[in-house]
Amino acid sequence: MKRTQKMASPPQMPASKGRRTFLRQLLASSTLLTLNHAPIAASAPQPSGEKAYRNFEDIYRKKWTWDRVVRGTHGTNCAGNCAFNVYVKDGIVWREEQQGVYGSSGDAPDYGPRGCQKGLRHSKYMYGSQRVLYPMKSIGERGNGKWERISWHQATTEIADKFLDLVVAHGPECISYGSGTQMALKRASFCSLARFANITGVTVPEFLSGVGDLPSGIQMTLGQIHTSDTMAAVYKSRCVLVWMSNPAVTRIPDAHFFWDAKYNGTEVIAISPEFTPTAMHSSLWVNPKPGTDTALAMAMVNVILEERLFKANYIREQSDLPLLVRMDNKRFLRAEDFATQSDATADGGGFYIWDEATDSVARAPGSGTGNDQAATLKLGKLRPALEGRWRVQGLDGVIEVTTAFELLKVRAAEHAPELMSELTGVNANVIRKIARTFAAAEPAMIFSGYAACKWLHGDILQRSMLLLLSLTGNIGPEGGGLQIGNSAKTQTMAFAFDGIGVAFRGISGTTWDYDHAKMKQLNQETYGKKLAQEFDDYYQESIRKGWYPSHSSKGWKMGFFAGNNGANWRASGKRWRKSALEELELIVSLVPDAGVTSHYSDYVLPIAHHYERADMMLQSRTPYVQVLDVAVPPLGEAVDDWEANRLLAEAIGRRAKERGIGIIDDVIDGRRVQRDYRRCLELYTMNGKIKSAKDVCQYIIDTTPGIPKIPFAELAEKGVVRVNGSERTTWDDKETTYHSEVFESVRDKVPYQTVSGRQSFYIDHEWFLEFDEALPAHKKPLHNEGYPLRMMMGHARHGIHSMWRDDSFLLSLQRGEPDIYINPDDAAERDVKDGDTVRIFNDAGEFFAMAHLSAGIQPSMLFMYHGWDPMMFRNRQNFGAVISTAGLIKPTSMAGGYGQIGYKPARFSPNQTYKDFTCDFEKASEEVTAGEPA
Amino acid sequence: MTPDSLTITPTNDSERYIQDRDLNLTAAVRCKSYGLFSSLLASSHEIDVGKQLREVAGMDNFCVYGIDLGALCGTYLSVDKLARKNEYSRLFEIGDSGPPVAIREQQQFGQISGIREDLVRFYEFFDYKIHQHYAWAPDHISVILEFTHLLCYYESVVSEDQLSYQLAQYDFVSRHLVDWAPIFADLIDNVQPDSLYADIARSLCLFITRDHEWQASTIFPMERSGDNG
Repeated sequence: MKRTQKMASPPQMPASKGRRTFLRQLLASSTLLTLNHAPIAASAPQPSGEKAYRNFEDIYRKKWTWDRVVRGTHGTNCAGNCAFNVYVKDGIVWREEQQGVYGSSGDAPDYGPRGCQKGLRHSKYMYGSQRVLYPMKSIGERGNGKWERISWHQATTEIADKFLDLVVAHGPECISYGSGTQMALKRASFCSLARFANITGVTVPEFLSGVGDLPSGIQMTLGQIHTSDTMAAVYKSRCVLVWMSNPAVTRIPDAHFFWDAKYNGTEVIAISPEFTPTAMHSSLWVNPKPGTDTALAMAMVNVILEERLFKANYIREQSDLPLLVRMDNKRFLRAEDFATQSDATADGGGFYIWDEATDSVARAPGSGTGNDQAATLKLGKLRPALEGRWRVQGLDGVIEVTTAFELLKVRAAEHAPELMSELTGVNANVIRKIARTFAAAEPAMIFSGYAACKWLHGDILQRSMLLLLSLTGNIGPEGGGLQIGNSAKTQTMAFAFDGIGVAFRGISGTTWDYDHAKMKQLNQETYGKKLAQEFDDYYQESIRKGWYPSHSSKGWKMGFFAGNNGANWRASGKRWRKSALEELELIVSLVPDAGVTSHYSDYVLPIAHHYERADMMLQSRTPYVQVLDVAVPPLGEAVDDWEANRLLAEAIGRRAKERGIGIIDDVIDGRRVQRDYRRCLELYTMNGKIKSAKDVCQYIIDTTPGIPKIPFAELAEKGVVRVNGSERTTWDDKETTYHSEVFESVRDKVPYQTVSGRQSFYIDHEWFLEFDEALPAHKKPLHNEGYPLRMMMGHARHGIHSMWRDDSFLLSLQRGEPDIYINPDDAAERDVKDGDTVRIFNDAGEFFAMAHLSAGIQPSMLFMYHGWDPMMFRNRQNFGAVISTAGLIKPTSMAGGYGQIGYKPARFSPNQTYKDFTCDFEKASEEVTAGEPA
Repeated sequence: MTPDSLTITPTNDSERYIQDRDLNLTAAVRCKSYGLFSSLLASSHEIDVGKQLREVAGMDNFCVYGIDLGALCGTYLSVDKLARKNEYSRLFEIGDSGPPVAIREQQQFGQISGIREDLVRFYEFFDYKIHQHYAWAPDHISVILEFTHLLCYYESVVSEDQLSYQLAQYDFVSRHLVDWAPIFADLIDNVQPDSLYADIARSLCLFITRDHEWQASTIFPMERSGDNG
């Protein structure tokens, strides 16, 4: 039945020719149907029955099916390693779901299911507007947001030409290739970078110290940094101090182990200045003032010593506390004190104890080289004294000696609970209570994040944490230890060197920045000329003595930033951008997502995201190898890291041949190296043997200890494969994938890689004695004069570093923009209300953020979750602006010539300091907030 | 209420019919128009649409709803290819906080996955299979317009059940273009008002609005028996 309604104008035909003529012309012009995005012209389906369309609901009647389900994960530095199923239909990833395939270690709860809201959001985020999809070239002034899209060929050719210009003129040292954790945690990706760098000789500033994550206090004490076990080890502990860590927020898939343990009777004690989600669920929350953690730790040491709660036999065997120290110069008693240098060396050197069994001096087992006791920590019939004073006959006369333990008692006495209570704000009775609980628990653990490394004296805090553990016999037992990190014994460098040899230039990220970003000048402006000069004198002396290499002579002229958003996280913020980044002649970013670093780049190369690449992950928190498989082809013209470096290698080789560039002489660690850039591609691909990231993965599987030797395709099919030797929660098996040196020392009595062969708590290096750091002690945190508030930062719940920080949905679960947590009293003093825009400032700079008032924040402190990209802030400046400590390189961190202490990339080098400063805030002016909604 | 009583009863809205469309005069023109807009907004980097547009630019006075598409194609062709690519990149591919203008519907409306699923369900229902190279962007405005172009084409060539294609066109445009096209045009106007793409987007907005009105004016709800309405 017809109805009538007002008819809108139909599509108008041209009047001049008549409709039929026009239509004939139109239809004759070409086929009417032109499909640019579909491969074939579809023949018209003849709708009938269920294919007939009558309403939009009809399209939803057919069951939604997947074309494929692919195994994958998110290759970020969250230590999660979570197995996901990735659901694909019509070339699109629609959703992901946790792959529940895990098991357990011993009687601990299951590792699965694993995952978090970021992972479950990735199938949306990967299609977000932040993606870099095509090679882009900056037009005009850097950072102005104007780009030209170019081909990979044009991009790599132009980059290769500049690269070769610089190599010919200055050598490859002036070109950096920085990798972020987003790239480096993916094994094949990192291998590709390492091989490219080994071939080309570019400088690779290691990122551990660059981001202030290098646990150098552990290196100082144990001679290596790999002390962690699986997360299930938490369940085996009877007392866990969660210190400088917030696992309820940052370790979402693993946080349950803490609550499982608590349910099982374990004391879970959260130590943090602010009331965190972890503190909320713990047995006890202890809140020292920011920067006083070492005072708290040493006060606990005081209680343990005063109340004789320590495990004497453990420290006699494992630690340097029974070693004899000369009273006159506070140096260890050494073989040289008894004999000439040559005789002492011939005798096997070493350190000494006072043997209570024979009432005489005896060489300490595990110390020296080539002597009978050097190869083991076993005491045999020796009974090293911990306490006492003695006089021994030396080469030049009588020497008065005592033990390091006696000196520790003196040091601990300076940290009595009542004294430290004033400093920390923690009641002395609480300090005593947690010290006793910790000492009584068998075993006890300290679960710590990397935050300690970000303080100027964070190394001392880590030394004091290890001291607590050692005194109570808790380094070694399952459920004990200092849990920070462990690394897989992957053959990354073997892959890099295969068929080429060692020509890799890896350096400290912190010293690289000090040399190239005018950091001494920053120190002068912030801390005055005297301190800046003093620190610089030690820095230069270390280089003069050959303790550290210098990389300043060739300058910094070009930078590759791969999965690295350096201009985001650099302390000193815009200053680094201006004084270092923008000084470069060429900046190249290789990233999946845009950020401030790519915005200031000359070329931005698109990199495949997590579901668009083949790779693999190994994280010690779970005993599984985790695959990343290609669910969909890389979006746009993105490629994976292997392919990106292959394209660069191809272009460098091609242009070197075309330009007739011959062998270039280079020097690595004093060795002459010849580089032939014409062969770049052949070398990179091992003469065509390695064709893709899958081949790199296979190389890693075949060469890494503890991984079942299976084809990559099998790993891709399964998603996760358990590594060998993971029946217990600890990495105590030498044959397994992760480092087990601590267990070998405790269980098998293999000496530590320290100067004394023992856990090293007393460091008699001349600089440590000079700065009163031979033993741990509280040192005042740094204070910017005139700025009363201490600003703290931490990993965020809704992002991993800068990744996912800008996701619209995750932002909707927060304030939608960067916010800073403020104590309500501090806010009231400054007439600031929740939601106001505030200006945070000190003598180094300023930035703006939304005030987020919270009673969980102590007075006189501010807290901000990290990772917010500067592009999300006014003036493109994030929190880095007020981090005035970027140039502060602690003299003792430049020390060398002392066994475990001395330049060792990714083991011992100065951390960049991120937490040791003060600032203030005020309500932002109306000029700043103009246009903001009320 | 028993499960049996939950059988779905079609609503008035689900029963519609078409009248007052002169297929011979409208389907081909509208098909060509949607196709042209799809070509004009396709990535200049990926697809060379020169040939398609030259044919139209050479035709006399190709005006639809008062929009001179022939002239628009001529303007497009008169812009230097590299300049056109750069303009496309600057508007739709990169910017300080992502591209200044979303050329994918999901980007515009906050990464709501339902948008893409709705598109893909339409595509699947009508056997529109996107090339693998573009499969990740089913919500690109050019793809959306191309699919509408295809529906119009089907309307013009099938011998039975044209109603399916006619109703689908209307629903699809209602769900994916009517709201978005004005936003798209406004955003480009804000960023680069004097650009080629501003011209295209303004014309598109006008075309979508008028064509949607026209389509609506040809669609009527079916009266149900017993409905005395």
